[in-house]
Amino acid sequence: MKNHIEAIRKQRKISQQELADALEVTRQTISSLENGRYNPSITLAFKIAKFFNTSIEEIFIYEGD
Amino acid sequence: MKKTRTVVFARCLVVLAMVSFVAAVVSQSVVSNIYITSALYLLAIISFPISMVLASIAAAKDKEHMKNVELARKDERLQNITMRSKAKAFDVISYILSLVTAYLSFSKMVDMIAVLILSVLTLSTLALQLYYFSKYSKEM
Repeated sequence: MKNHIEAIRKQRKISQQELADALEVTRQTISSLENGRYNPSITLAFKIAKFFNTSIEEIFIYEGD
Repeated sequence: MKKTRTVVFARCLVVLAMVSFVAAVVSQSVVSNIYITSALYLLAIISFPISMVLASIAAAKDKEHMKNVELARKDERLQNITMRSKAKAFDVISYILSLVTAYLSFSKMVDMIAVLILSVLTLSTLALQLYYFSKYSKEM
């Protein structure tokens, strides 16, 4: 699954640490999400979407298995 | 964790416990003095829990450390990593235990009762796995 977290975060001038603090995760988790090494749970995906005030579909792109 | 006096003391106690444990094992075969060996074992047994208590006291006082611990506890990626590493360790241990049981049952190195106990332990891991699989299948 691809995502636009890094692009949206940079566009809004937010650091990885700030995003991590807001989502109550570690900075490493944000880094893993941005690199596509880790796919978030539905709860975290909703938290990310809520933080950026957008929908999940605009952040995450499902590409099948 | 901040390097306070308590932390340093707790770490010293851990080292002391480890050293005294190794010394006790060595002294058992080299010195063959029951008092020295017992004293070393006692030192290891006493110093290790004290170090654990001191470390937890120091951790409770360190707010930054507690914040990081709480964050690590909440982080779903770390939870996943912990669960996967536990599962992998279980797989490896089950494999090793089965191999050791099979090897010991064919060799005549140990008593048959010991092999039987080991076999029961090996099979109990499978039984426990089945039990928890069934339990979690009902819950989820």
